[in-house]
Amino acid sequence: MSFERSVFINCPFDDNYRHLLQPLLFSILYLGFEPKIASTISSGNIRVQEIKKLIKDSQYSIHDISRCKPLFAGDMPRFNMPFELGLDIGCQTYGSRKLNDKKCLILETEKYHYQKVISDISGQDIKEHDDNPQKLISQVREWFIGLLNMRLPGVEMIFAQYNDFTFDIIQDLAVEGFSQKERDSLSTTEFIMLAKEWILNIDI
Amino acid sequence: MAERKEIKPGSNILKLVAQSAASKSNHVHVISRGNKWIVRRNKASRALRIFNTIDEAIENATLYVNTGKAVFAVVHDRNGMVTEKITA
Repeated sequence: MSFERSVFINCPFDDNYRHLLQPLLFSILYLGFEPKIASTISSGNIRVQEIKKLIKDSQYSIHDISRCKPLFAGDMPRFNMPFELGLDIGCQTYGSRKLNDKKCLILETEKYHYQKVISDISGQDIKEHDDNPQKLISQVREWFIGLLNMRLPGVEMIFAQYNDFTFDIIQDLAVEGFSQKERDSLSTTEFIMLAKEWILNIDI
Repeated sequence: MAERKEIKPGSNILKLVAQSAASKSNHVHVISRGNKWIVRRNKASRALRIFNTIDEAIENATLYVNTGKAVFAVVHDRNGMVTEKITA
């Protein structure tokens, strides 16, 4: 997939974020782009190299910093998302001429929450999603329209298609012998492959 | 003349058949739209009806099933996940 169609995704991959991650990935694919995610199983050093390559190979990035907080009381906050955001902004700034055209969208739950935790990013495209999948799709769609200056399917259409997909995929996986547990715990990579295939065959 | 669709090597035939059947089946979905709930036919771009609450939407979808206007209804939560399938 070309640099111009690739979207680096920087967000959590845990179950608490799944209700936002899956509509986000589906929307990106539905709009004709390719989401790029780092493998979550690579060791530290390999993972950083992989992330740096994905950032460099993607013209667009979406960073969700809404989960830069401890998962449980007493835990440390999570720094992966701000770290990867910093790598991306650095890549735009210090990279080759082509990389100066990179664009990034920063998402958070509440408006201006970032000012409390990472005020240095003011001036970037920062939008709130209220932890609501439809709002998130709307923000991503509007961001792409602003960048590309072209018409794209509406939020209602994208979300309706996503709902169709979630039902169809349950049926398809059941036909293939997947258990309920397996269907509920699909990996992100597997989800992307299934969504891509479903969107490709949407007119069958 | 019947249209033939080429199945590329590596395609999962079972999946294509299931997807094709799902796309053609006559069922309705109850889904969230902003602060409202809608009932829409599978793959349709427009809503059949719009409601203020999910309960009203489910009631309407159940009516479609009970009167034979839909084979079944699928209820989704606000996140798009399937929570219920209503059959006659």
